[in-house]
Amino acid sequence: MSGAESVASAQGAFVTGDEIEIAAADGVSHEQEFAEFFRAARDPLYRMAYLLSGDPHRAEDLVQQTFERTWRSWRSARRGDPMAWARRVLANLRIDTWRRTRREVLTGHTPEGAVDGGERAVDGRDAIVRALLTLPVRQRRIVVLRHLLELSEAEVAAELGVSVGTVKSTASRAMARLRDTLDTAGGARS
Amino acid sequence: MSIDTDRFAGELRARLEIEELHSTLDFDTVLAGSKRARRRRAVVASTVAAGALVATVLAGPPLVDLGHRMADAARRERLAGVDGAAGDLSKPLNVAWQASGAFAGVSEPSGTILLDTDHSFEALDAATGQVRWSVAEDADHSCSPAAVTASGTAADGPDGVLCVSPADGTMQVRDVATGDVVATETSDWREWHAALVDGALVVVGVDQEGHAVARSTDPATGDVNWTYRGETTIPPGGDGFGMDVGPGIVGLAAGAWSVNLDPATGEPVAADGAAEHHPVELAGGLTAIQSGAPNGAPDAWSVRVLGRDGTELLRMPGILEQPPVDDGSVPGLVFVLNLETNAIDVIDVTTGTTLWSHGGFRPDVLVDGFLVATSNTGGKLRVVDATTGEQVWTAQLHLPNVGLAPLTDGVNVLTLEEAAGEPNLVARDLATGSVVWAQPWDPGGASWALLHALPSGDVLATTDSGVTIFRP
Repeated sequence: MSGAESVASAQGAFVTGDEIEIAAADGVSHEQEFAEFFRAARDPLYRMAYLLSGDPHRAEDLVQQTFERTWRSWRSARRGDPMAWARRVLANLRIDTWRRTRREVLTGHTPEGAVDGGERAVDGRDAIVRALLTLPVRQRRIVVLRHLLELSEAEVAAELGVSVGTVKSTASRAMARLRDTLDTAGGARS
Repeated sequence: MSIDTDRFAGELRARLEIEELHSTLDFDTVLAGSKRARRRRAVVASTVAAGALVATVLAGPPLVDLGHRMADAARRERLAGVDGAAGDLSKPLNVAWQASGAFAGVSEPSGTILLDTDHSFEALDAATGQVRWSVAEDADHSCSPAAVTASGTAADGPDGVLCVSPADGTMQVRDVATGDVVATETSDWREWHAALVDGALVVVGVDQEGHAVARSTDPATGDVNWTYRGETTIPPGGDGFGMDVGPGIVGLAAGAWSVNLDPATGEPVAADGAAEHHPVELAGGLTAIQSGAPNGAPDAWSVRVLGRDGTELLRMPGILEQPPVDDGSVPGLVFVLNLETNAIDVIDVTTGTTLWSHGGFRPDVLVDGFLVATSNTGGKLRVVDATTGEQVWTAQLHLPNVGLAPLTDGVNVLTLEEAAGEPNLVARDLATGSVVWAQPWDPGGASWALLHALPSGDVLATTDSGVTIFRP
């Protein structure tokens, strides 16, 4: 435990640099609490970011920003489900950060295996990610949350601020379109 | 959910191997990026850097042959006018200063680097790292740079910064170099979003009557460029309202309703149509145009190549993947991502033939007949013959998961690699791959790094945790 954390436990508050940390009621500092959340949420958020953006560079950037914003709002986030809070932050981030780097959405990575496997190799993950990128953003968010990350319709509705009916109808349309896209690509390859 | 849909979703999850996707972020990096108190901005003493140089140079002596040096000088001179190319990389680069935060853009004409830190949006002097101006940010105040243009990239970087206060409905456009407020606008719409697009302040939202609305204003004059008001009414508190900005479109969406507007005119463009954008100038006076909307199906994407006189020379399905840096040494090459094969086809425009095709790489630089390409997941850098695709040399990068965007001066390629277990900034000879120099530089917990050449000759490295300026 750092010196700063010891002070937090003893006095309920400590100062680190120009910020004030408030200790939680059980003596665990918010920073410790957030660290635990970080460990649990890092990979799930990255998966969501990658599936939404199709680009590992942007996905890491988005997850970093998601954690930063969640930490900034940690007092509010920790009152409910921090994971749901962070997912909502992430779902709304992408618009703000469109093309922050010079990477284009549609030039997402293709896997190393495709190189070593020879020309015209097709990777299943990448094909699906590219198919996802053809969906409108709102459809993509719902497909990713509902069908790929397996949240319930009610959870998706709550996190995206839409009705359950919208989740159902949008997911249905999006999955049909995704199937068509993948079927077309698969047929052309065979 | 029907059994059929359930099965299809299960197949998708299995093919995606979602559980195999892992972030490389570490907690310290996140927290460091989130705390201004941990910002470090260090000027590294030249004596220390020089000592490090002596200790870590990995390769043999530089070229001394006069003919080679003259040829190198000629290549550098030719590349000097190429966007994205570096100055002389033959001498080791040292860290001049570094700062933590999310990189938000660089304005090359003014030498301003924009950083989004936890509590403020900052504009730093690229030469010194000193803060030129900053704006405090919190839940009700935030800033973002103008980074989107009709062509998708801003060659000189953002020329303005937009700061908004949703609570009181105000928007301020600030000069990127000075931070001076050059325009202020307010909105009394029920909800709204704003962005700087092609130099214009574009605000979209829902008015008090529930109609989707948009407005584009010239920040310099205050003149309204165009307005839009949709016929559909959007109920309050329903599906929310979103704005999506990309090259060639300003998108508005609420629930199942959406519309894409032309940022220049405010006219709706077909969401699934074949709106044209991304005109890219190719060597030899050719122009490549990407057609297709972001919401389009795969077969809606196509690339057209026009000759000097506007004659269509080639049209093919796919997405243009031209290297961002191209010195024109191999005119007539077009790189197109084939959405059926997921490989990049390299096509000779003059004959229409596919010269070679490869999956799994991203073309970064085409110079002197060499194509420098990187792959993300394996972290390899490859240099291939641009006309045949034959590999010339390859190197394993330090960031294996997502990699690095390399930089070249036409003679050397700058990479980030490990030597004796330590990360190093490394310059390799473009033609042979031999190490010219190596300098230790630890990007911390970064999972990716992009290298940019600044007009001053400095090299800017941006990572997911901050920025670093290098100079000889």
